[in-house]
Amino acid sequence: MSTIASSAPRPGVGSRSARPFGLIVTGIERLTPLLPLAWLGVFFVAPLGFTVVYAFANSTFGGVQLAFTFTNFQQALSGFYLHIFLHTLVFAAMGTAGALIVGMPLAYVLGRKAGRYRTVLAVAVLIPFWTSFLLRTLSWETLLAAGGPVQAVLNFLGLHSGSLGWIDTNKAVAIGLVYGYLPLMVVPLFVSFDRIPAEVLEASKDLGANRIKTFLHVTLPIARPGVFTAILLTFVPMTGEFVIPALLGGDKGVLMGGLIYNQYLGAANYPLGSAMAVLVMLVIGVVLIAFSRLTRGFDQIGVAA
Amino acid sequence: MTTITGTGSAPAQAPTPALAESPDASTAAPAVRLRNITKHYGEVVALNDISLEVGVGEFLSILGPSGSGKTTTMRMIGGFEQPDTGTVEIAGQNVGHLPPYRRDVNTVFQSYALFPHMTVLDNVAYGLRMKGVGKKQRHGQAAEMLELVQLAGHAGRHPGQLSGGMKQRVALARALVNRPSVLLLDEPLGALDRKLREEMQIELRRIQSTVGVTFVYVTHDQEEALSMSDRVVVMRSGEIEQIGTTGDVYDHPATLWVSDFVGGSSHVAGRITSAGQTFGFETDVARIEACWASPGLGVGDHAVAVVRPEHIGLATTPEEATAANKVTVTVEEILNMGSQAKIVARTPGGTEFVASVTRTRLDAAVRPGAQVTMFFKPLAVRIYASEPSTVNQRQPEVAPQ
Repeated sequence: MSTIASSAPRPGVGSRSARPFGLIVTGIERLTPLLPLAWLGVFFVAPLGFTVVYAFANSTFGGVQLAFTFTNFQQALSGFYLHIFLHTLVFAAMGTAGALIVGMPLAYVLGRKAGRYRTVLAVAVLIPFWTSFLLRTLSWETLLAAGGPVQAVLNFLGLHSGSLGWIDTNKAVAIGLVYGYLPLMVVPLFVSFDRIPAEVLEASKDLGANRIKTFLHVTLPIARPGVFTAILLTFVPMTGEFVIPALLGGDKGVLMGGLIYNQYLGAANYPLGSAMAVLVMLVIGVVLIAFSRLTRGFDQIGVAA
Repeated sequence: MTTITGTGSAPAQAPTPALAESPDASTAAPAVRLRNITKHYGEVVALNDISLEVGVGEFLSILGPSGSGKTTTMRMIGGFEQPDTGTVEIAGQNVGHLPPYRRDVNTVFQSYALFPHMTVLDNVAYGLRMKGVGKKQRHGQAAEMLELVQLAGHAGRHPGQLSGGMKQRVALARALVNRPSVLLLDEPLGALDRKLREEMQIELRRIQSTVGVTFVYVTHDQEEALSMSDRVVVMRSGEIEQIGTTGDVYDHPATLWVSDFVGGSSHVAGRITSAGQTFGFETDVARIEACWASPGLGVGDHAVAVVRPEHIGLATTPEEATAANKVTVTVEEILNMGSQAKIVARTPGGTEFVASVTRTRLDAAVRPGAQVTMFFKPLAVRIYASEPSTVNQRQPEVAPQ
């Protein structure tokens, strides 16, 4: 950017007309910033625009007739569809909470207590994240199946007796969600905990706070932007999750992602599917705005003071 | 080597003013007592049999280069490190088993370690809050502390909005708000520029005499240690080299290393030829007369004679030129130090002499390349057993640990 500013009015370098190439170069330089905008337009705004336009259109089942009607939204917010919509939000919230409960201690140990095992443990968290999401989810089908390992363990511990009927229920979906999104939860938390200078926590103990008080009054507040970033990173994709409910939830575990998929590829009702997608996006938008203040300062953790 | 100098030898304190809660005049226990502390990190010996007492209300500096164990010693007192062997006592009580939050000791950390998410006032009030003091009361006391460190107008700011010097003061107020019996300061002025540092040195002394709290001050800066403390502990490679008053440490360094680390000096190797009221010392340069030699040194021993720069003069009068100790040297460099000038010169044999001279007394004849006669009194010469490692450690590393 600074090159643009400096290349234009520089006295004594030569008049502009004498430098035709300079003009071209200047022109390219000026247009360069537009390139990302063009990419953004083609790959993000345009598909989004179609979705929004479709949401207000009439369906011809297999085709779309452009219009401006709210019937799709009315349909999406009534009966079974409304139920699934709300159910999805509750599920995403619960799944996020579950991932937070599991991920917080994990990230804390990784960031502050693991010492020289830190890297090994961090890699152990991340490696599953890099392998196929589909495979990992499918493996839970085996684990949770009746007569599978989870059943054996639960029976052994006396926490459950007999056959485990969790597959194709909400339970399996919840477990799958928490598991699948754990890395997304752990990484920002880990980074936040890791960045807090040791001396700051020592200062807290020095001033009379034990471990728990130090965690509540110093560690957690300093890590706050990281905590909310982690929540956001987990919650947002969970609202659109499609694979986990499809594989582990069966008919009872359908979430919004599956519903939209069905409208597009099953019922061929593009406008209704689009309206559902717009509703999900609206919720995400609201959450993003609500969290924007809480996630601010993530890059500043461990920098100031 | 002086190992333990009792509290009795601590110089007279500034009278403990009313702010101090309980003048421990009746209790004989020192504020801090370390007994035979040893600490290993794997193979590395961080502290080797450290014993030390700090008197109530005393300002004690622990001085040493990086890796000398000064910070580890301080962290033992604070409770951040546990000794392998030995005991830590605070006000007569063995605290070896207590975590930092149960010790009546507070710390000013090198990096200040302020809580970035709290206002200045809440930072300072934190210690009281952890004690369970009510909001109104703790804010009142915190505000008093901010006044003490002259930051009354900044209570509502966040640490990120403060300058380094201000953060320093907040850290100090925060550590003092609980009225600890001992305040530990870990190179607190290391990050400040020179002028601010000098201001803060005076400020710290003022605050210490106001609150009457025992200060244990860790630094690698010998000037700082000498100008602020009642007593100085000089540490080197996990051991205590000397404990003494600032005057003691500077004027009567116990070892060659201390003499070098504190103040710097010129060295001449040679052999002791006579001993008695004074010592005769034969060197390649000249025969030197000295008034002091390390205990244990005798006639025939090879040793090192040491003279501080300010004790070396340039002979200008015939009288000075006939002084007991004189050397003829060639000036190599003249370093302008403000009111003083440092003259670095060398004998034909290569021995370096450094003299510190008032600049107004320098004449034009003294310039690089010129031959001059330097002289010094026998009283200024101290003879030490030579030490092979000294040469490498002459310039202590100043980087903070």
